[in-house]
Amino acid sequence: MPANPKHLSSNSQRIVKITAGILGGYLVTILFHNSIGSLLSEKAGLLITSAYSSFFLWSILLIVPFLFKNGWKAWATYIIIILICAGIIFINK
Amino acid sequence: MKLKALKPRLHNIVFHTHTVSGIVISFALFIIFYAGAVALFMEELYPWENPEARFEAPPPTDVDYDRILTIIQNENPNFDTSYRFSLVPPKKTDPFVHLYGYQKTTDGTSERFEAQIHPITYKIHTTGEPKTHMARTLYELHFFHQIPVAGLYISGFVAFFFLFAIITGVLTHWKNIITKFYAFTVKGKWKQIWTNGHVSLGFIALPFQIIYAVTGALLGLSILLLAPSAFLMFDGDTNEIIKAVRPDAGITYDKNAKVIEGQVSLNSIYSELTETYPNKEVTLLYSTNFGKEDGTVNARIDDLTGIAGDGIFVYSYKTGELLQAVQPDDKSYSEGAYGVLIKLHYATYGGLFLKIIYFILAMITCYIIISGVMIWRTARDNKRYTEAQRRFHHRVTKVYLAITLSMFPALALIFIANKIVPLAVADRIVYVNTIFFLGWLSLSIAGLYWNNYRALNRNYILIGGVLGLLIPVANGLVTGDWIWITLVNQQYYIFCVDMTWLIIGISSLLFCFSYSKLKDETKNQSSSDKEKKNTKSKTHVKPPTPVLQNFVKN
Repeated sequence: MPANPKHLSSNSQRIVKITAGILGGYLVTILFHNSIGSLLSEKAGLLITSAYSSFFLWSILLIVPFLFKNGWKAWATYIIIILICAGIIFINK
Repeated sequence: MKLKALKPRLHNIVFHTHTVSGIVISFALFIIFYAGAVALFMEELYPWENPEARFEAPPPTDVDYDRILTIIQNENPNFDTSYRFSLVPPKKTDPFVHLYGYQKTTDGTSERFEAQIHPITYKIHTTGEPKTHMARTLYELHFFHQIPVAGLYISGFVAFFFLFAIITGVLTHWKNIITKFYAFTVKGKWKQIWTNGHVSLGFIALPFQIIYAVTGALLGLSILLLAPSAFLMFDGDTNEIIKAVRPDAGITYDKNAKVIEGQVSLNSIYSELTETYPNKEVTLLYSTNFGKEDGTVNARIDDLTGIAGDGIFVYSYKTGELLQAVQPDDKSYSEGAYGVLIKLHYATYGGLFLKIIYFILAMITCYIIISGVMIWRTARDNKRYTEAQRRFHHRVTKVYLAITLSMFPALALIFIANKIVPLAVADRIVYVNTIFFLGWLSLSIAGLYWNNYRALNRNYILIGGVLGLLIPVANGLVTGDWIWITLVNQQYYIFCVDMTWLIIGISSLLFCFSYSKLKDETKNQSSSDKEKKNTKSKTHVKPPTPVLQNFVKN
């Protein structure tokens, strides 16, 4: 039985959610890992870990926007996280 | 035992993302897994592929590597040792010594140079492009190398969306995942059969698939991770990143370093390593700035049976002392983790038996991909959809099945093409590849005219079976190494390839024979409606898909 369409979003919302998941999710993933990296003095271990943890995090972040009723809220949440992570990286630079 | 169900909204959302992402990547993912499954045996296929490599390799410790270097330098004065070159010692599967390096061109730049050297006579066998490329073509197809520039990234994204589909798939089937695991039944409606197969086999292959989704995404998309990290953590210094992954790659060399007479030879390093690690083999000898003050001579060793059994050793050219080493079986996390990910992907940590398990799991994954598409179509083949919609679903499924199922006969075709294009022909790789890709294309197009899935499936198995039977014959006719001769001569790599195709060919034909009996009962079923009626009355017979069939046979 295919998914019930009453739970699915409209076309424009779908685009917002997909971009939030792919682009926003990617930026969150990268900045999250690098903000941890900026706190560490020995970065090699983190770099290696991010080789696989990034893809897990990114794929989960690709699912999350679909749970929001409004895709723009997903974008807003991601942008807040991006700003926090960017701030951590900037302070520790 | 039933697990707690997801809330209806969550279930429907996740289900829909699983369906859409699955359908979008399915074509590419099938090709990746099918070609990749064969590419696992790239090395083992080599003696079959190249008849000139069918002689017994001498023990690699007996080979004089310094002499090889001198011979190459004498024969080709343009060969440039000072930049970078590498030597691959002889292996059971490939007795030639391979040299990769650079040569100076007339206009002052340098270009790639490669040569194969006979390990006993020390004659240069070939220079430039190798003569055979069959398994390599399949290997490259597996990350779409044939598509310029974008191929690798496409395959990386497919792997990433595969991970997404795995996670959403587990969530979708969460409630029934345990009960369906035991539902190894081929009874019920078609929709039920496809779903049961999809879920239970998917659950079995889950760890394998997660490994491949993650390592595949890493191999394809590493640039997406590394470039921002280099910028954000190391002020744009990519060398720092490479150093974290491979300590030997972090060394910087001066192009204009002084030319000196060094203390080391390739042979001395080779014998030192084989004495220290008698159970491991040197897989690669390579050097940067050879003949200069800051030059290094490096070696990689591996036992190919342990997940951390590989190591890297870096020696100074000037003094011969060990500068850096990644000790096998004794690595720090950051030294070892990347190697583990690569080994997990290439299946080089458990011998041939592990590769066979990997192959079976890859074929199961192919079945899961096909059954996913079949669920998609079967679930939409009812009155809730308009005729136009249903025709569209049918056409998509048909195109999909034509492309994927025709890979089986196309695979047999490249084995034959490899034998019928003579080794002496210049640019023979181009001809072999053209036969393969054009053959695959025409088989796919032919499939679009077989309007019913059963006929499509049967015809491809029939063609693949006949071509498969021709493979040992072609090998025997062209090289003289008939299947019984290779068995007597204990050339097991060659024998196994012929034998496998013989078994695949015979069982395919047997399958088609039993299939044609079945066909009498299910005649005249071209439209999807009729097919549905028929499958309803014949649900007790489930013809295996060729993929599943291959896996049973192998």
